Amino acid sequence: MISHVVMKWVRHLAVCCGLLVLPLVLTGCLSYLFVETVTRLQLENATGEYSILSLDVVALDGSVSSPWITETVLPGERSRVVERDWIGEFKIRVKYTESKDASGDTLEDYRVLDFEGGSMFLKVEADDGKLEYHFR
Amino acid sequence: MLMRKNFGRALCLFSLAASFAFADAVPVAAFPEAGAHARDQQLREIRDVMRGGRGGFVDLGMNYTPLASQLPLKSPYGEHEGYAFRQHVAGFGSGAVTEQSQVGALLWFERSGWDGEDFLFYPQYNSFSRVSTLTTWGLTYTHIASDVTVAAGMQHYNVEHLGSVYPEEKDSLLYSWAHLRWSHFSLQGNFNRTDVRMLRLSLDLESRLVYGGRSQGILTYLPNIDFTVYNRSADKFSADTYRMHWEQNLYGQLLYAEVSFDFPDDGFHSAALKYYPDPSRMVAFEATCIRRNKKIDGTDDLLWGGAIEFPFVRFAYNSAYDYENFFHAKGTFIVEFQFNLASIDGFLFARGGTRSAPLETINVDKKNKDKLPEGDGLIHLNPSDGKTKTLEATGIRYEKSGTGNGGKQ
Repeated sequence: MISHVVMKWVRHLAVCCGLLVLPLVLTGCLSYLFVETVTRLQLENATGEYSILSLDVVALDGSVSSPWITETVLPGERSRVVERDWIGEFKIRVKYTESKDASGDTLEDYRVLDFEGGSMFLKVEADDGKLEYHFR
Repeated sequence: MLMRKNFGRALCLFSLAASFAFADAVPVAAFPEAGAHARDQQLREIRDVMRGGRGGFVDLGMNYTPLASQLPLKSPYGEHEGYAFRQHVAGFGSGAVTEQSQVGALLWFERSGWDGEDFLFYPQYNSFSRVSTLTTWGLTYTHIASDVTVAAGMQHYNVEHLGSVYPEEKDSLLYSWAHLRWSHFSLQGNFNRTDVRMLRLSLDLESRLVYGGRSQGILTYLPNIDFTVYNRSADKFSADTYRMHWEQNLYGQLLYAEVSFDFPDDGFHSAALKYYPDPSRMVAFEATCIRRNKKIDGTDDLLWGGAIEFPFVRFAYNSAYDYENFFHAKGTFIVEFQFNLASIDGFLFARGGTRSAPLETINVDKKNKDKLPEGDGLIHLNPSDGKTKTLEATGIRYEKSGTGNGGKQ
């Protein structure tokens, strides 16, 4: 007798869940559980000889920029993790100096990188005086 | 057979892949004008529903773009992955207060924009999101004998969230609107405080059966023309100051042509050929052409597209409706789950329909069950006489035992 009542409730619950889940699945509004919608970026300065002053995202025409990592990262150091809403391919600008203590003239390096979202670790290396970027 | 199946599959996969691979981003510049478009679209829909001035109407809809790469946002920084969205719901109902007077209320609601997540109620509100809502409500009065409808109400446009990459946008909770209809003619106005934002004169000359007109004949071939004056300086409306829209029945209220022109400078705006297999407009096939906006898209070439609409879902590719109402979305298949149904005097039809849907209720005369014909072979039970009697009817056997022992023998 009790099992009948329980079964009835289970059936009702299943129908309710089904009715609830169906629109959620149909609208895909649960996709943020499976798809990254922010990028948590950490930068490592593996150049050995340059100091990185900042990393910004700049507009394709260079008209505007948006700061991302604003702290100075000396050779061998890692930045703090900074979360931003950049998902897609964007042009970044890295400001750096050719010194180990962030002194001297500020130089700029531009690169288009693909930010897929989630935790991304960007390793910056120097190769023949050029900056190389690798996601790990 | 197998080859045909494989070919079909390949074609399907190719079109899917193409639709996502060549999907175009929605430009940020398309958003500031979206509010004015949505306000205009809602008032157009209200004009259509008010053709009868009474009855009821429901509308539900939401766009479904399953992939974050399908309609990315194009900002000065590049293309951001995410979701353009548009959800709308509308309702109208009226009732009789006297024999000749009907009073009703209507509510149109839309929430649209772009967000980093696809959602039902709670957006992500990230740095590049733009979420706005538009609510139009009003009260209606219809005098049936003189075929006059008066309706008026407010429009509240609210930008919930605006990311930093978007151009500035003005919203206001103080738009008001009024609608006056006499027979086939209607006049509509949209105001912000004391400014006139839009005035529209509509001549819905086509004879429609659902509103007491003809189902066929020369009167059904009369055109529906509307002439709209926009206050462009106030609204940043992409159209020029005047717009004329012409809808023409080409064949038996099944095939229609639509064309709209902007005056005095821009000229051709859009055109469509629409085929409704049933005049109730529950199902529609349309081929459209719209002139793109040079300011926003950098080109004013023609965008050709089409759409198929069923009672619960609509598929579109580059259609003029989506280009205008869904932030210039193009280059991808757009699915919209949608449903709308209007009713008047027992007729059911989709918005703009001319005849009732082929799902009429058939009234069957009630039979008087008490007066069964004589000699039907039915034996009425009398439990007090204590005898076991058997009733047989159409294969069912029913036995009744004696009284006083709880039915046990």
